[in-house]
Amino acid sequence: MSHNGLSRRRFLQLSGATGAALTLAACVPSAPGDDMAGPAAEARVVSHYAQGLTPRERLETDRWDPPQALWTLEEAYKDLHPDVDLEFIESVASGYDEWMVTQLTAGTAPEILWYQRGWIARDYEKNWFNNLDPYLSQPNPYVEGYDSWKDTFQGPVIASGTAPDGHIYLITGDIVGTGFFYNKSKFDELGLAVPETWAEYEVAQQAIADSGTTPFSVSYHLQGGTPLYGSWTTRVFQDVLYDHKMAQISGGTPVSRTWKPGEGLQPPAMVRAIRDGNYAATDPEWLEMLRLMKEWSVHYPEGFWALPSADVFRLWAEGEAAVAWLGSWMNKPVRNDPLIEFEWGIFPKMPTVTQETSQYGGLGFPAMAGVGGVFQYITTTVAEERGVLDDTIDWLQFLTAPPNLIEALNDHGGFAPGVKDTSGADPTLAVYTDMLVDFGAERIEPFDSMLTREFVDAMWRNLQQFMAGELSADEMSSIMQQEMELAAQQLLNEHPDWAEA
Amino acid sequence: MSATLSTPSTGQSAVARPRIARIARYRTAYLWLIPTFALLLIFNYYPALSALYHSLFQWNGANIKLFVGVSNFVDLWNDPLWWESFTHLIILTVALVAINLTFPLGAAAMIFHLWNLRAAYFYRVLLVVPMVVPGLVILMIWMFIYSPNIGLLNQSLALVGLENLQRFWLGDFKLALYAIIFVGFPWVAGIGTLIYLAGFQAIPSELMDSAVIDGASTWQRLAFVELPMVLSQIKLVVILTVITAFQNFTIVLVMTNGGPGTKTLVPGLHLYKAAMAYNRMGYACAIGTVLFFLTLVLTYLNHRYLRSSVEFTGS
Repeated sequence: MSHNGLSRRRFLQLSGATGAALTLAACVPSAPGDDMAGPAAEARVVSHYAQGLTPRERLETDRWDPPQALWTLEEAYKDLHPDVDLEFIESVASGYDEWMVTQLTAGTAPEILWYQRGWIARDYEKNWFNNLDPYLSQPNPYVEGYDSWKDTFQGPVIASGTAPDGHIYLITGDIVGTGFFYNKSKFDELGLAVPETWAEYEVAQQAIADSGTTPFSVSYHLQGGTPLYGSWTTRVFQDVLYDHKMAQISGGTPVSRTWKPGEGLQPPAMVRAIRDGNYAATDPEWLEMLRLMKEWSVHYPEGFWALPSADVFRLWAEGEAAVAWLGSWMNKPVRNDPLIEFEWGIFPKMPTVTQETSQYGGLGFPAMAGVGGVFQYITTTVAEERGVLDDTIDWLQFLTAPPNLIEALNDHGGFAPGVKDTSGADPTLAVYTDMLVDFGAERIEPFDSMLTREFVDAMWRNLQQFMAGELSADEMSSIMQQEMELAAQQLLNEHPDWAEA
Repeated sequence: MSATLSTPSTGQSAVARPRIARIARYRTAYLWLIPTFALLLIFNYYPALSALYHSLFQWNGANIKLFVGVSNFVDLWNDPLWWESFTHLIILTVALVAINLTFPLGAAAMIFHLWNLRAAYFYRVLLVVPMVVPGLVILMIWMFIYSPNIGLLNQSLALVGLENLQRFWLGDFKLALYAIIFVGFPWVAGIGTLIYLAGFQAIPSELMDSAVIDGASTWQRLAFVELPMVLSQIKLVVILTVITAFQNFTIVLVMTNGGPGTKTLVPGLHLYKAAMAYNRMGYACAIGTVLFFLTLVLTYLNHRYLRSSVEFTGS
């Protein structure tokens, strides 16, 4: 019987060659649509990271329906454009900023990325995303009755995506709000009314604490706590405490409170104010902000700096805390969560810090709300390189046609539409948009986007230490002044045109 | 003259020819090595050299790339966060080396001394099984254990009446770093135990028998025969522990993000943030370069000085 099998040497040669070939093949980047067969191979792919609007199936552990409207809209779009495939990138659980920077730096980003308007100033010169002015000036083919795509949006909403060079880089389609959600049953039980001043609020909080309930649910955990609650608190406090100094910070021009994002003190103005000593972490107003925050923190949950941020809602929903600062994105969960067994409401406005509480008090708080929530998308320059920029823009135009946008936002339940035609929008969101329009938004650029990413990290790290009692107010202020000057100088080096107004 | 000139050339060819012939003879083996070396070059050597090169630039990964010489290294020297993170790294490394020199070694010695081979096999498998659980899952479990309100640790303390010992483990400014070190307790289900066990099993039985015949007690055998015989494994574990401690920041990133404040920040996380959050790619490369050379020096010192006067080689 003859042996017809491979010799060992031949087998090893073949295996080696095959292994090398497979390895090399695996290293070759695939062209878009490579995995398609037959006619579908010609389809162009637009990938979209839609953040909170990313559709997904309901899980057994979900206590309310997850967003799914983009799937419906995708089907409708496919009917019109069978040659375009849409791909929704799964939600990035944490470290989004790092993920995004990595994708953009490596040139592997999706065609559409969720992006915060506050980041534009520091990134717009990096050639990561496209100037959308040429598209916005043309009509949206999916909307009738408007001269341009830009005209279909509420002016301040679409203008919020404007970079210091005057061009719009971001499609913003929604409005977001926050509010003090309170346990009405608890307030009634203790005979408390919604406080109007900070002094009244202090009395109410003490009464709640005396009854054995945590007055205010909040987290200063570094992951999702301080970057949220530290940011909100400093934004609104700064606006009130620095009110008398706004013109000085702006370099002489009065700054009125409005809900239009572009009319506040933008990063270039803040950089100049820091350089000229018109805004500093050593200001008495800054120290007053720290004092008020520290005093308020006695009513926070024990160990709030170590509390996982998800516990903020849980403590309130389970009745362990009487008030929680939640956002409009919790509108749907709050209304549908079976855990909530009490009557609840939202403070019509934050209690005012009067001069009884602070020498810099007197002005009511702005709304902790603003333009741009879940619907803030850039189109990456990668889209152009892949030859699908026109498809990418077309999908965004389809998505921002008012009926489609409202369908997506209503399905999510937490954001009001930022287009002019709001027919069919969820009426329960009016409370947030009303607050924004009535009280305006903060005028000083939030720390999140005021200077550099490094600065904001230092800010939250030190704020957490200050709130936990590891740093004194003077130490915190001195450290942050150094960080502020360093970051401002870095930005001036990167953007010499910011030096003059 | 021409004959004189041609001599060296002939000599070189004479040396080169057998080498080429040898390579040709083992071409299959060399062919097998090509993919490995190609991948090593692409994914290990090239990025490392690229990092060394880019550490001399102010580079944001996008549109700014300026040659700045050693400026990034000077900045690093003056960066208080670097020094704080480095202090944490030293604490972590010392603790991890101490842990890996005791618990896994003890576990391996105990398994080695089991008379019942089936039991020894059973315990060996028991130690290997947790290694197949993804590291991230382990970290999530430990985050749950440390959770201040519903965590196993605080709840267990309450159950036995020790509420006064309850802490915000990962949020406590004084304890967070030690809570990180404690992750994985009792630290025996790792590669270290298996390395030690392999070392114990390679000890020649004649050596053990002669120690017994000479009247050595169990402790004396362990101290004067077995431990010197596994010294090369101990060195390997120390090197691997130091390298892992210097490189790995996943545990800190996932569990504390360097907090509270900066109390658990380590150089790896500092590097990651500099690169991925702050776009300071050149500075991140400088951190990476320093960590690389520090690891290299420590590895060399370990090889050079961690040597016993009675280091044996098992036959």
